[in-house]
Amino acid sequence: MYRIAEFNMDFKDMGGYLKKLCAPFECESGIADIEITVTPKDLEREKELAENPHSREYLESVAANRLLAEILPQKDAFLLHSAVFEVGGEGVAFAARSGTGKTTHLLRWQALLGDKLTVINGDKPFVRFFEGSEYPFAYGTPWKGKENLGNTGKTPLKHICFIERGGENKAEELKKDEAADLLFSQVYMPKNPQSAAKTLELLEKLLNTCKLWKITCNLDNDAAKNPYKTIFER
Amino acid sequence: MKLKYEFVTNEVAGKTVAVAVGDSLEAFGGYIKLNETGAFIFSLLKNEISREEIVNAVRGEYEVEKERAEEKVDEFLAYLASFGVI
Repeated sequence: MYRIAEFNMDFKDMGGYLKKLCAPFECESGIADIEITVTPKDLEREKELAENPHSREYLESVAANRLLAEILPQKDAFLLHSAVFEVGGEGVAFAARSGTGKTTHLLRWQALLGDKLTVINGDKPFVRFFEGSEYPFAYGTPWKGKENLGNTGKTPLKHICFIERGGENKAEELKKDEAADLLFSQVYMPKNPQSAAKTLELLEKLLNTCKLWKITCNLDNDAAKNPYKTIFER
Repeated sequence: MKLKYEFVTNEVAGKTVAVAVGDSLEAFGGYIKLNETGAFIFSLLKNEISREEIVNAVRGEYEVEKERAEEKVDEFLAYLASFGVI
């Protein structure tokens, strides 16, 4: 049994690679909130979707992530493709199209802030809403991206930053409709109609709850300085 | 005419947003933003319907002249056609 995003999760007949990814999340056995079974059909689908050939065990881990992402919205949670970290008790998500350099920019923030910054998940954090809670929480997951950044923790998600490459380094606040357009491409949109409708509801909540930013940055070593000042030293 | 794909809709940031679901998600991976009239017409297109029937429904819903309703409907149908969803 594994405790991920404060859900008890059971993965049936899991292979060694997925077991290794999930190991830090292992918990004492209990009643599963979510049960995931990867079928041969799921594996076949991942094989078709993958750009490069991968082992069966790797494909199983991707399929398990997808199956989870299909179910999560029905439990007030969803997968946000982003790098999430915490600074001074505030969670920040960096979202960007792949290849933009969100991890590079995260590393600039890490260099600037040192121990004050904790990476929660570098690639596929889950975001979960709770009744009565002012902010959603972003959680570490076993799927940490190729840089393998992240832990098993959580953070109250207060800032969503969309990263773009540009000449100067700055952060500007975005309006909800501007952020919505950028957000759609970074959220896992389920095939399941109930989950998809719920995802749209959760996105509306996210846009109403979090501060929304566009960070323009270059690759300079001090690229984090100005955006950090704008977001945290208001 | 009728929508080619299955969609769900919801309000996001002041606009109705339609996303494809089920097998339609792979065929049409994006999302469509709809204004109020657009969302109304979009809901009608979940079932087979003619242009004339849509125009009449828009006239009934918004109490507009036939010409104005036709203009709105044609404009919106062209918008949907640009996404290839009708």
